[in-house]
Amino acid sequence: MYLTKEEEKILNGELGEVKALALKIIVKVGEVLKAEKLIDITHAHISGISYFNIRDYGLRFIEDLKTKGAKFTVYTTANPYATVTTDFLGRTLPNDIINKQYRIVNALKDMGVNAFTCAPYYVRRPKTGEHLAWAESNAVLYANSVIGARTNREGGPLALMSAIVGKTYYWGMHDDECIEPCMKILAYTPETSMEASAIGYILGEICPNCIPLLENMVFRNEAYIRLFLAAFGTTSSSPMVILDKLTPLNKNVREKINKLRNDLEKHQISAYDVKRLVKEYKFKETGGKGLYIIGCPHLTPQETSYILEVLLNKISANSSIRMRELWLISMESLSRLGNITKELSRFNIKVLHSVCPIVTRLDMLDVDYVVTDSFKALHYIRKISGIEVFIDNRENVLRRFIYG
Amino acid sequence: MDRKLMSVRIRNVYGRLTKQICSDVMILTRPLSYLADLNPEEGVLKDIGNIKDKILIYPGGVGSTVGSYIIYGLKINNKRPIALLVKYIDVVTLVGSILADIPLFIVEDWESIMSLVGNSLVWMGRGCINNEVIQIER
Repeated sequence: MYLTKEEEKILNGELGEVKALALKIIVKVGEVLKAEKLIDITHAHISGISYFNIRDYGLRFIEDLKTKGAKFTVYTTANPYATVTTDFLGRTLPNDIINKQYRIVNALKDMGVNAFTCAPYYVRRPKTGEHLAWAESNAVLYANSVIGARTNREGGPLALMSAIVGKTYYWGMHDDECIEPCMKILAYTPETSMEASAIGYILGEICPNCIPLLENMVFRNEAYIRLFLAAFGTTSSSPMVILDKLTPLNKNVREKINKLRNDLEKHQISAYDVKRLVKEYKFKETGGKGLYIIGCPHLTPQETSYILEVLLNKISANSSIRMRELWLISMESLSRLGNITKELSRFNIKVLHSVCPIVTRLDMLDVDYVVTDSFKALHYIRKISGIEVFIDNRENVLRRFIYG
Repeated sequence: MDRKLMSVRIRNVYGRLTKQICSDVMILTRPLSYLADLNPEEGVLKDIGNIKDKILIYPGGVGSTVGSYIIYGLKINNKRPIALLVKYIDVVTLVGSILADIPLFIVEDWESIMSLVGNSLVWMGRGCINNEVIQIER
């Protein structure tokens, strides 16, 4: 691999041990993938920061970097962490876990993380054509498919290394030559954002490791696209979905796709496919304590405010909400929340930020079941926390939360 | 006992084996989501079994990018498999194998592997691996 003089200096340790270590890993990955060179990035986004996921060895890995004096040299954001900032119906996580989670968060803050969210594109929106090193599949898919910035689907620790040196390997998504669809898809037009999420989940299973071309633009708005991409990233390792007429592409890539188009293998995702998947996870009467989650991926403050408005219009003073909580998870704190916080807490409604319930062992909070509109949340909560998760559209999640 | 061997060529991607190793082979027909499917402290794949000291053959990684840490966790907990053999390379798996120092290979003829498994999701057997080829007892 070609390295500049500056990069060789870093590798030789002239700019410190920790930069040398970081670049060594990036170069190793680049060499294996046969990348010709490294490129500068403008924004790194780190995944893998929940203590439940990375445990003591991950905590040690991150704290070691901090102790060695690591500082991020480019704009850096990180994924949200386990829900240590709240209780669930009075139950909190063990102190030992809370303390270790904060050690991870503090080490990352010391190194220079600006925000903790799975929607970094709302914190600092990259420009079309910018090179990034992002982990977090939904953010990678959004950057490549919607913004037209370029990032591979980095592993969590690799994005951390890129944050330290401000570089990544020139390969894959960074090189227009590599952007090529492997199949074309015609999809049913979803009626709700939950159905959009189902389409993403199904598409990922059809296409686990290559870029699909979605030929008909079926999404009503941005929220639909985000739930679709997040679910796709759950079942696929592809860094991109080409959304016809939406994804920004260079002229030569567009021409290449148009030439390929007629010969691409064709798949359909029908209303029947979607309804069948949804039916499998639809709500069943169940006892115990329920957690209702909206915000996977994180909501914008506008979406959160809108949902709160709908909720407070429906809830009456004598509504009886017991044995269940609603968590709305926003990409940043809501400044206007002050005067209604008390009212919300009376109805077991919480607006959270910087955290993520899907990377939290909800069983340790005594959650018996979850209701959500996100197939990504459904997939991981079932696997990680081992509890029942039901899917419904956003309106029904709220309705069921209010009326039981 | 009839012990016909099936040989499949493999291509080294990262971390070479120092000698031929014979061990248990575990083949999965579906991609792995490391975060969802693998417990690195016990070295166990959910609903499937232990992967420590086994030759693990599967299509590749999908899902959460936290996966690299989960693979690294296998090293820290001394639960590493002997080698990972995949159909396609993804960055999450590659970074995990580098951090955990687990040799990673691409299977040249994936269809032969699939012919061994049939319709099942998992297949267990015995085999021997070096840096060029894996021989599996049918």
